[in-house]
Amino acid sequence: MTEAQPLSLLRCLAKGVPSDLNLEPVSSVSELQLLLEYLLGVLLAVRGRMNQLSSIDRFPPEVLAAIFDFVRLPKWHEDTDRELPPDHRSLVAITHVCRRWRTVALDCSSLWTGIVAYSSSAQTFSERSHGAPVDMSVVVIRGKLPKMQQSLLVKLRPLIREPMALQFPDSLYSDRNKLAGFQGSGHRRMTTNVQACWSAGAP
Amino acid sequence: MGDSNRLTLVASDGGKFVVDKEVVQMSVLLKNMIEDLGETDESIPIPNVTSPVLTKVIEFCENHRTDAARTDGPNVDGDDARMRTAVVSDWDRQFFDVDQDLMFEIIVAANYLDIKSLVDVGCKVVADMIKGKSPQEIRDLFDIVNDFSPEEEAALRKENEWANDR
Repeated sequence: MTEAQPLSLLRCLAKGVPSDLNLEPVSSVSELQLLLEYLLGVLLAVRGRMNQLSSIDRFPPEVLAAIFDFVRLPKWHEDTDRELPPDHRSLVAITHVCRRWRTVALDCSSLWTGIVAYSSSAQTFSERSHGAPVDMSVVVIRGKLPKMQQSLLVKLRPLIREPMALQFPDSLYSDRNKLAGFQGSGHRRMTTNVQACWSAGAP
Repeated sequence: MGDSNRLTLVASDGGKFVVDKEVVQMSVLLKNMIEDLGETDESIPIPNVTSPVLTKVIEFCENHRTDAARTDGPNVDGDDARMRTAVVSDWDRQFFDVDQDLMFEIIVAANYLDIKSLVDVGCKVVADMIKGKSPQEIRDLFDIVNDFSPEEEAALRKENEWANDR
């Protein structure tokens, strides 16, 4: 298939599918597959160009990164002086908007430094923080720090600015859903157990 | 001989604005330019900023001129503290109650002129628009289209598995 065929086809499609659209010369599935891949490539290029022309694309990367940082920053609890953990879902949503936003967000290691050790996002955040200093939230259950959190705490210890421990009453341990609902209501202090782990440098 | 406390700024479309030097100096770019020029009656061209945008930028700086003196003091804990304490006041929210194009142009101009307080407030207003929204809702809000390839989309779906499991 020559380059000219899909391009002329594209021009026809741009004007509306003509009644005499003729794909007969394309005689094999593999050629049609090539045509399909070509058209998908063109579609992505058109979408990318549309994004370049959108008004928000005028923001240079540093401004976009500053916006993302505000999206991520934790809110202060209105009734107390407690700081809520970073808004991870909005941060992940940002990386799923378009290619440019994803590139800017992933290039900005400081966005990924709020590591919630008890979340399944911890490993990814740890990788994306690329060795930048991190803040880590851990959950202490029945006075102990679960093993997975211990190993992450030890692994990232040289990079941790301040660990934030959330402690749960034993009665909640049996109900994992309730546990999730308690995120964000933690105390900004280290418990004895975390302190011991921190000092020893090993579980 | 003009008033030495006032300067004339010229927007990209030729619009002229006579502004107090104290207000102009909230822009780090213009502050440095004024220091380089010394005492002068010459007007300062702002080639990247149109009159409607410059009008808004000057309005913000005039309203916040006393803040500048306060944040220049020795008790500021650096960028991090600035970011974390940047609260959008009612006046600032009202200031940015404009159409999206103008809002973005103000932020771009503030970034070019290096007016940190205006960049911060603008970024926070945009961040508030983004918070809590899904990727598609964000695209709809800012006229962005999904330009990920099918392979990239598959990878994003995988990310959603851990992102939604908190």
